[in-house]
Amino acid sequence: MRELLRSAKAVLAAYFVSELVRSKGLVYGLLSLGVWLSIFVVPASLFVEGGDTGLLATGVLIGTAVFLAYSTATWDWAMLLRWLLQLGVLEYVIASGSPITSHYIGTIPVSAAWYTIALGLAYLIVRVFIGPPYLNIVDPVALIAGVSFLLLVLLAYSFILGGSVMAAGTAGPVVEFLSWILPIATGGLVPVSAMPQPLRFVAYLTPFSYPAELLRYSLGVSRTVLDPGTTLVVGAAYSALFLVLSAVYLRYQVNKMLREGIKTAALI
Amino acid sequence: MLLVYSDLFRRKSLLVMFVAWPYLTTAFMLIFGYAVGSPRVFTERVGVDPIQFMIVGSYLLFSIMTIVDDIMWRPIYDEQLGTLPYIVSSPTRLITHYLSMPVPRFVASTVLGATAVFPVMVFSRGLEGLLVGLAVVLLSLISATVFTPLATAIGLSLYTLGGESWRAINVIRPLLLIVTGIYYPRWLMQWPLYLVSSLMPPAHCVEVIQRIVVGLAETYTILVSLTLAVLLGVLYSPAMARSATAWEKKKLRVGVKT
Repeated sequence: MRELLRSAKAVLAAYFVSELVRSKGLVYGLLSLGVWLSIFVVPASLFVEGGDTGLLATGVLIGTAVFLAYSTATWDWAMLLRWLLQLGVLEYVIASGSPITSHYIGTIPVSAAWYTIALGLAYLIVRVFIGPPYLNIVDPVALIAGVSFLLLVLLAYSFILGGSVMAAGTAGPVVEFLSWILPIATGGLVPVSAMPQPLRFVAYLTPFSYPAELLRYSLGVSRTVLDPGTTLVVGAAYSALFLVLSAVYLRYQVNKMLREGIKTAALI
Repeated sequence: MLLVYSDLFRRKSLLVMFVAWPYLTTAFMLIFGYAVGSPRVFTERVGVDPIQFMIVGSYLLFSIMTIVDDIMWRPIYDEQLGTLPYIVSSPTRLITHYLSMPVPRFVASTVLGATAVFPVMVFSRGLEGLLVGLAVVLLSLISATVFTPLATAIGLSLYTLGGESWRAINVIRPLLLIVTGIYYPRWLMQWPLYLVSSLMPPAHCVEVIQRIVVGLAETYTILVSLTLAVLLGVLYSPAMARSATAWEKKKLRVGVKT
């Protein structure tokens, strides 16, 4: 455990210095995010009638928050493995005896800081282009549960993506497909109640819909399709199961890589 | 050209994603829009139903981006692959190299139009949709052509000033797309943004495309806009030549990173 934490600390220091300080990654990343968000949020304002837009702004902000969470899990955590593959250092990481999870843990503080600032920027963009969002906590328990389940699901999701990168050597199209489809098809962007019936079914089959539903419910944006208690219980069980299964999958891919060697990573 | 196509067809998952992307972004925009508002409000404001507007916008996004990306990212790819020294030392002039880059993508862009714009337009408008689709694809090719000098000038100037930084490109690229007005009609923009947008050659083509889709196009407006687009494209050409020369000189002076 001490070794794991020491490795994670080294990853954190290296990542913080190289990505955020030396490469000015934070400044460029926020600028890029602000511009991309504006591309999608500004046209959404063409759908909105004048008047009270507070609830709509809250819905857009939560959708953006969930989408940002998937983006962070994709590009900070899962893509870290692709980066290690591209640099040709993954074999050294494995040979050093340091577990791959130390890289995930080491980047969590940077990712959390980045996510918080990015969410602040998203708030500003939504406020300017749609209106000030309402932020009322209707159900604190559901809010805590929603945030916790979301973290578990994100970690599991990044394990699966990371495993896929190691299996294929390239994951550009796979990652892009998953990172776009997931928030759309699973109720991350819009409430499940606002989705067509077949999509609702798909959304509830995945573990991703439950945290988003709980978050929206806890902030009074929309009601859950299932009973809130059921959503909480099923969400807890499904998130935990998903994390266990994804950890097994990642472990399997690491073992497979040790048998077959490391795949060459493609640029896209 | 053949290398680009063989690369595209060899990687089937990439090909599938290439065709699926406009549909995905359209679905994203529509679901987002329908969740926060109503398609009726959109139709009243813009003049056409959001499905047609967004599929054309998404097609433009990818048809322009596929070309601009090729130009702006290529120096970084070449540096990472280790082929940059060969390109700089090649007898082909650097400017010719960059001018020829979008050519293979024109066919890919046309294919994208056939898979994204035509089905939706024909389904919504019948035979008229076929003509609108043809106009959209043709104008998107003109749009990408007139964008090449500016995209090359910006990309290579950035590389000359700050090194091969993908981070700066990641900011500039979407910013150019916003100013071009792909998802937001130019005639609804605030005047300062409209003014900045007017300096972008593809913005004029995009406006013509959107006016055709909405049914607001007049021959005079089309001619003026297209003339402006071509004129701006020609005006930015010396900047493209200068930036290519400056970048080449810098590479020869400081060398290529390995």
